[in-house]
Amino acid sequence: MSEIDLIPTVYREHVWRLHALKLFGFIILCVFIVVSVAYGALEHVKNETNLEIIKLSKIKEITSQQRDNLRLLRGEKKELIYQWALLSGLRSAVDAEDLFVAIDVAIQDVDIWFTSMKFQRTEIEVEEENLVNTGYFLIVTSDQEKQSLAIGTKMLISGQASNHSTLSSFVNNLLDQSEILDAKVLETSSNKRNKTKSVNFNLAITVNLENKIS
Amino acid sequence: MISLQSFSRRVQTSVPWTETGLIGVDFSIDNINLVQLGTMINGKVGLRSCCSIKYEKSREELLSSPKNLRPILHQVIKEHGFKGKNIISSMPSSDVRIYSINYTKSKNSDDSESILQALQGRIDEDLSQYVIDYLPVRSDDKHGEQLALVALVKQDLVISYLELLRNSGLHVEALEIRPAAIKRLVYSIHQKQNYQNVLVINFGNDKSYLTVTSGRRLLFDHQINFGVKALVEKMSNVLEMPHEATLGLMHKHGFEIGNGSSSGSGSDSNSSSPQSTYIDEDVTKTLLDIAKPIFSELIDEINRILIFAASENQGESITNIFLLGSLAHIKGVDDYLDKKLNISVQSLSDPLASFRNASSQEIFEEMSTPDMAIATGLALKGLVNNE
Repeated sequence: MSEIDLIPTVYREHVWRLHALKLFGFIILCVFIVVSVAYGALEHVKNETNLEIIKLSKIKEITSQQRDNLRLLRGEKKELIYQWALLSGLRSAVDAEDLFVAIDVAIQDVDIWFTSMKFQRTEIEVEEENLVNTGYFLIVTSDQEKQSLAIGTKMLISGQASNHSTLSSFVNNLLDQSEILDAKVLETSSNKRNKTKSVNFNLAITVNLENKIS
Repeated sequence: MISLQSFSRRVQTSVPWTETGLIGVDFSIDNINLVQLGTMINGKVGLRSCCSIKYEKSREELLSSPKNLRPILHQVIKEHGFKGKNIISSMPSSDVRIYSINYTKSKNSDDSESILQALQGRIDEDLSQYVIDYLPVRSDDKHGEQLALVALVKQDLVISYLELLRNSGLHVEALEIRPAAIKRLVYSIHQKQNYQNVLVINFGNDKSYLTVTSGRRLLFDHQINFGVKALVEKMSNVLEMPHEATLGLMHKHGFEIGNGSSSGSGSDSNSSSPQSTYIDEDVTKTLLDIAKPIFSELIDEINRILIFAASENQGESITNIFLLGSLAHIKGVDDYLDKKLNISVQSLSDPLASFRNASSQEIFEEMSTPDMAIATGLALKGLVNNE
């Protein structure tokens, strides 16, 4: 011992404890402030993120809605195109005069007469590569496949021929006509009246659209 | 115009310090004294800052509450450029009892126990209520006899004083007794002069304290019933003057008669100063005649101490006497005692003289008073190689 010091050890310890307590309190305060600031910052970031999420959700909702609308519109467009094609097809039917001229050519020198004639518009499926959009065809495009529709014209003819050979000649003559695509005998039956024999027939003539188009 | 304080601070910052000491805080009777020293780059101890502020009311009132003390200390530390708030202080002398205790150290007990036993036999009080610390002074290895300087202070006084300073925003590193600060100061100032034994007389208002040091050792401290208050009262009664006027007269004329009448060095008693030309030597002589009977009581006390010191210090006598406190301000006291005691007597009127550097010489010279001796001694702790 070289100097007198009147500070009691107990007091020094007391002051040290107070100092440590103050330091601890200060550290706690600092930590609290840091945590509060961090919490505030994170809360701010969270709010910002939430706002961003809400904004993006709204944008997404709008996108979905637009997509749905687009789908609907596409459907409507498809329907409208279909209807437009149908309408165009109907409006642009084959010329009846040409058909009659073709039949008239085919009927020459053939003993055949008609009892009824009937035009029938039909929807037919055709291969896409064969199509040219002239109003006869409806081209429906989908993601998976391409389907083409054409408005076809059939003439159903009922009549009588003197015999089957005559009917056959008539059908051959029809097939020779460029306006006629196909001629199918749907039904034949023999008819005997007043000792005269005849053949009743039902014939379906399909108009050659290609020829018409060209 | 640059203020004294700001200039002082500029001076301080321009000095390269390698170590800063504690702030010595001393509450003397009239002033609060603060001194901070430091070690300069050349290894010498220098003055960083100091101030002495007179109490606006009284010391007791100032020390009654941290609310009174805190703003003053805060202002002083800030304005005078003190560094840090780590302080060293001393208890007021009136609260401290110092004993020289002779004790015999037994083989099975340490010094503390032996001193406590010896003290218990001398003081009929419960020692557990006291803060006790001691300083070994002498040990006789042959007979196991030891001498220690023991300081006692009531624990509640110490705690309340420490709490006062702590609540005033200061950190008290050490709490010493004034004689320890005096010893440190004397050793620091006069160590080169190789004084063997030194008596320091610290004059108080009611009592005075005689401290004997020997080199780095504090030998003992003794309190005598001699105070400036009694001296002034007696003189004012004789002169039929108010106390303040008597004290003013004493300060103006002092007790110095004639040039070169003193055989002592008398540091402050410079008769060639311009003020001394107006001094009426008859007044001085009258004052001295009135004071002589009181001084003779003081001289008797000092002589007793000198004899006691010689006996306690194996026959080695006191070689120098230094005066501190209120009487050290008055011219001629040192010369008078010097002549009467036939020992070199000096007033430590400027305790900071040794610690001023060239740049701060003028600044701090104006601030220095003898009252700063204790604060300076305290501030030297840890800076002087005497511990």
